[in-house]
Amino acid sequence: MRRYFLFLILLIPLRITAQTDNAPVTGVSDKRAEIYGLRNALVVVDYQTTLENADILVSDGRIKEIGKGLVFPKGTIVYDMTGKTIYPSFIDLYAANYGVRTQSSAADAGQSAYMTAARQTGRQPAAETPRTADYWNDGINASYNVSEELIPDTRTAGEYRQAGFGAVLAFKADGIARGTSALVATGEGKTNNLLIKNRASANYSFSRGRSEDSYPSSQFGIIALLRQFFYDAQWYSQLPPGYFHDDGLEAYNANASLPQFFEVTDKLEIMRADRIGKEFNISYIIKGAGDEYQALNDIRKTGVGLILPVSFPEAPDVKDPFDAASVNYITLKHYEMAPANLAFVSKAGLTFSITSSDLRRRSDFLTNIKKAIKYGLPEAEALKALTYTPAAMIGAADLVGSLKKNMLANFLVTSGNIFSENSVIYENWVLGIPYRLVDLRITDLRGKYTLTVDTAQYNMVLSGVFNKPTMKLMVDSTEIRGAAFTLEKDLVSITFERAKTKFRLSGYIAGKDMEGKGQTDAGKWISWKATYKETSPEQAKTSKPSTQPEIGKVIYPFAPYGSAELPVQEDILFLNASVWTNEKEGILQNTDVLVKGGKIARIGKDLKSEGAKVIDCTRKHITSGIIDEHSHIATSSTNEGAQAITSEVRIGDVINPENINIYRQLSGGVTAAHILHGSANPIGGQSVLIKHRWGHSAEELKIANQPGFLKHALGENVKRSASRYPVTRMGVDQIIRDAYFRAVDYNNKWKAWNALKPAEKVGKVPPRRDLELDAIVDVLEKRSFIECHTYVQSEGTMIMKLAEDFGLKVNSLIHFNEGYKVADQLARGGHGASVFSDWWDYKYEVYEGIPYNASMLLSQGVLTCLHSDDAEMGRRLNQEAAKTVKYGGVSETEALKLVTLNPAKLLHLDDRMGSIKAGKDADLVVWSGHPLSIYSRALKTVIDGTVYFDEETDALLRQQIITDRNRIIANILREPSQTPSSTTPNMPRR
Amino acid sequence: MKTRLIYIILLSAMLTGMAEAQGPVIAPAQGKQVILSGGTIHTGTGEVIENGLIAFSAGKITYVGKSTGFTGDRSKAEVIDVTGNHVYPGLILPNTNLGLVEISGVDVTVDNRETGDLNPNVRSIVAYNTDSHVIPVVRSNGVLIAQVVPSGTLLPGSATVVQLDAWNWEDAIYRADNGLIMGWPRKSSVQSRYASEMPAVQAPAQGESTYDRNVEKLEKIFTDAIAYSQLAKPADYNLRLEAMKGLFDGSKTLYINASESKGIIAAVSFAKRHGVKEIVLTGADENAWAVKDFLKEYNIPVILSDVHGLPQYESSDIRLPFKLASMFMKEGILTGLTYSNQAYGYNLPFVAGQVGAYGLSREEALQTVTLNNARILGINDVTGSLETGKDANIVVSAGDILDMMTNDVRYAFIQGRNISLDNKFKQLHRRFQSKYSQGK
Repeated sequence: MRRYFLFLILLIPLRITAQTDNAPVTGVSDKRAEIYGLRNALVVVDYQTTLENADILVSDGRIKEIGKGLVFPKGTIVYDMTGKTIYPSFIDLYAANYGVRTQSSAADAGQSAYMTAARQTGRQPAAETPRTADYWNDGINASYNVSEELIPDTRTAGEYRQAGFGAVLAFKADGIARGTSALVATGEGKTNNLLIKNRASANYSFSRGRSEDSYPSSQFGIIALLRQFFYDAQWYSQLPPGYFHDDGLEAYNANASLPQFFEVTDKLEIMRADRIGKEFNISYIIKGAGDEYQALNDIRKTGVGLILPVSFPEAPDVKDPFDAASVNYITLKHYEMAPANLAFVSKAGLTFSITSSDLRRRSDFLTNIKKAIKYGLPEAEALKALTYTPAAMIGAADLVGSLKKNMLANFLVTSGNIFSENSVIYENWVLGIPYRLVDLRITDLRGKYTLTVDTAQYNMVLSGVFNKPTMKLMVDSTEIRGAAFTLEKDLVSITFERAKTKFRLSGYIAGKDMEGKGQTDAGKWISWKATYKETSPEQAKTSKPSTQPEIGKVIYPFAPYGSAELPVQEDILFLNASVWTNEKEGILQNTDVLVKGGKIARIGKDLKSEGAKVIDCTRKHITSGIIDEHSHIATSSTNEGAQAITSEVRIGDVINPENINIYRQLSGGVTAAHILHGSANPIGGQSVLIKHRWGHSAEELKIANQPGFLKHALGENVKRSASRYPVTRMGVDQIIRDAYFRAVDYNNKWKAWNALKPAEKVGKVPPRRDLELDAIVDVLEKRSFIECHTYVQSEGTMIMKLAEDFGLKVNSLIHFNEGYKVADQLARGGHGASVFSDWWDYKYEVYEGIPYNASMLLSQGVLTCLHSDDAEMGRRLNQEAAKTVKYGGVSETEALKLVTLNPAKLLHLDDRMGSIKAGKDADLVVWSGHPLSIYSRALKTVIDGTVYFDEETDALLRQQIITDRNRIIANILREPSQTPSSTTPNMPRR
Repeated sequence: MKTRLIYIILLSAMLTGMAEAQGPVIAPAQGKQVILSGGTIHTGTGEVIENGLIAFSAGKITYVGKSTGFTGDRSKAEVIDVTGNHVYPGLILPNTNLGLVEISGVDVTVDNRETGDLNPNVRSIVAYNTDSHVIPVVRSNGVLIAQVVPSGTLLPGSATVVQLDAWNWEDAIYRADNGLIMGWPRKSSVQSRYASEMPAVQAPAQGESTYDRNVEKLEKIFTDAIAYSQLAKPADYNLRLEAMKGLFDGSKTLYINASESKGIIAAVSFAKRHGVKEIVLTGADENAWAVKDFLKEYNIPVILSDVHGLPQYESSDIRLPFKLASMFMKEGILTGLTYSNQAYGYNLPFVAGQVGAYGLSREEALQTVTLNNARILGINDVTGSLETGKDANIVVSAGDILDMMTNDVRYAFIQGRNISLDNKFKQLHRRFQSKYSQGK
């Protein structure tokens, strides 16, 4: 490899003189015409069209003519390309940091001096340094353009050329908004000549990069910042001149018409990026991670274009059976299916281009493309994704991506079908200049010769690769072992040993023959000559018929216990159960429940099935689906801890529908959950209500028409960060109070502005939309409700008073372990409580937590529910409810309501959930026995009439996982073992 | 409900003069004989005696059987009618930080982990705080015995079995320093979901060397301890090595905490190779199940600490933690349960109930927190079951003690002493019940 690379360097032209230059001549000028004519090639004009026996005329870096029987002008350097195939060279739209000088190593990403200092000292560096008039957050580098500092580096250029690329889109992979990119030719020379198209795209990502700011520190923080940035840009465009300057906003508005690229690290993020895009009428072109096959339907709905890598994961280590047990099922499945990603994407009809980004070694690029083709990607689609599509995506299809008159002379000379197993790229022409990977000017010496050395005669056969033939030397038909032949342009040398004499011959090519002088080891000089006899028949390589490798099925979600086929909504008649209605009827014995169209249709005895599927529930109990009022499952971010008030972040932006805990909750009869921001901030973020519709997308998990909830938090968690205000409960009160006052003022400003007539608005500065305050305004306007993490009574009283001061109620004092101490206050103010059954003692503020809390709150008339806050406990909430029977003597029916009807009420969902009543959602659980008993199990969990958990199906799925795992592991073990590579792993950088 | 309230008021009256949020008064030694009559007795040996009678004197059980079969003199005894109630052996909480950790989030109240990797000599018992507010809370659901262990390092120290009603740690000792804890190092770091996810960068070379280094530390100290144990009078008295002597003569059990399948084999093999006589595997989960044949072959008992925990792997059986106890027991492996967080030790009966729902009979489930734990801790000669001659460690519950809905402990006796069931929870409950009744 190293030798090959050296060889490559040697074969680049020493001087490039045909290119346009505006710099003064120094010394004696050396301008040459460099007009090339290529004769008689098979020319792939574009991914759809091929010309046989075609000629190409190249000059000034462009294709001057292309067609059959061209007459080349005098002075044309003509190459015979008979038997060669010419392709438009490839375009890579994701040349991260190519030619960018100020980048630091990938290991430094997210390790700014600021962050490092913050981590090491536990506090944020104090003084804020003065900044330029750019956007306030350092993760937003919208005003950056890569041409500011672009100097293509020759080593990487060589790698790109070797992989078949003629042009790449260089950008700086740093930050959330990354500025604009430039299309650059992979040739060498002055950047002025190489830069094909400046500001070719505007780039974004979910990665904060080396931002100097600690905010945002989470994905939903990043999304919130982007959203704010886009609103700010709208606001900026309405500002009167001279009012406020911002480079970032100005650049964003100026670049809004460019193709907008967004880098993601998995397929779920594609939908997240698209959601932001749709809010602002932006169509993103997404740089994907190679796992798109896992969510094709959702991706198709977004309509995004894709830039996809061919970096396939390495085989997991499964040599040891115990180690293999710890390899995730999904790791195994993705390993098996990743090479088929492009085939899936192509079959789904999605628009995509292919990038060499994310590869461990760029030299693996063509190998992996061929692998993707073996896994079902059509060759024409591959070529399209390497040429036409990337060109079209950046509006450069008139310059690159096909071979037509006046387009850039960027093409590949190959041995034949570039996607065939043994294909070779001989030359990569960039801007009309040939870069010779294999020197076609070398004489093809392959054939049979008579070698005469001094007086002796030998039979000599040269065969193999034309530019590096191997020799077989024979006396009559006896082969001389250890004989060697070296070809160096016009010179040849031969060494061999015969009759204990070593011969060293050196000579040159003379027409079809070779001749020269030589010396024996005795020092005697001799003459030699090799006389051409005939061609040596090359052995036709039989390529194995390529069979498409075995891959398993895509499952939904792409997680253990996902299925190839999603469960469907059914009409079901549950027969003869003990039905816990949560209504005034209480527990109905030997009763039937009919479910139709996802709703509870009827409850009664001896119901007719009306065509519904009948499930006998004799001796079984049926309850409403359990609702977990406080959960942190199924989300990719939990806390945006970098600021004290982050009401702008939304859990709904980062729901992860593949989280195994969703399925685990189903196994405990939990059908819906309130997913909240963590408790690191006095005001955290906006939460979201989901149903556990396992297998569906993030959006489909969300409950329709849900009210908003805003997470607040008090006490130890929010005052823990020693350098951040607040560090006392006193400060917590003030910072929340301040935020609410700011929101009131802000709301008033907008109301005043909105009351103006259009004419009155002219020339005035509109209020700036502030997403942080919007979320609080929603609370003030009662579109959203306060959820407040509270432990001790003092802070509980504080937040109730604070809410009351603004005419509000605390929808739910969460955890509130000391709620029992002020239960009367909660009841008086109409505040709710969502508490643990028996958690205590893990920190000082819960030392007085008691398991009688819920019962005491209930007895004072507080709307109370129990929650999990924990994925493990979440699946046993029925047991947690049972504890209130023990601690405080809550009745069994009221105990069950603590995890069903009461959370439904607190979450404002009781009009459709929480009890078994005709017309409500068919969210039901069939229990093996008394639902509060430790000995009972959820047998079936039903959401909207769809059975999402079934004990029997669960056993089948488990068996399928075992079978599938064993199959994949067996396949891995059958693969030829590869030497482990020690370089960086095969993944996108973030 | 009403009777319970009266009971509570009576109890608080009994404890007159006692300020709120204080540990309850320690029960005096048993005076006259006590007879619990009429209850359903679950002996812990698998036997259930309806309308049973249990009698005890001087802290020892003198009769267990049918009421009708009791021929002793009732007149001089304190006879408690427990008709309709269930009578159980006191539950045993092994491998816990109870009494060493008051509030886990408040560093100064945490006393379970001495600095340094190798502290076989430190003794949990000397830091055991009999006045911890956690203890009465744990006790009042039926847990009467605990094995107090240091934790968190390679050799964190020695363990002592205590009874949970004592004025001071010396009185609390049930079996002193009869266990040594060993934490076997982990070899691999936790794996990410799939390869394209950050950060999947594993440093196997470094990880392995850390593992090797830690194993080497253990190799060295065990080798040195064996050599030391052969000296009648060592020239240099060494507390660490002295503390390890008992491992080689069987007077101390080695409690191994190893989380990886291969680590379990490595750790047990290591201990066997060094001549350790008694070995127990703690924190056993599905990775231990993967090497069950090995455990069975070497007759290693297991303690499961995370019945109410999530499975180790995403693709594991979701309910596997509930099923493992039954699976191990059906293999003939001696299996006990504990509750990993000492503050929630009061949930010990319920994890036994939980495994009872997945393949064990109720009586077998009861054994996982009584007789099995007693056998594992080497105290089954004196407790763990209701049998004549054993200590009168007895719990009376109105309903099934293993089900949270019905667990309602009415009496508990430790070595025949009728202990208080009051605790911080109940005190605070009463205090604020009073607040609300003032308003009426």
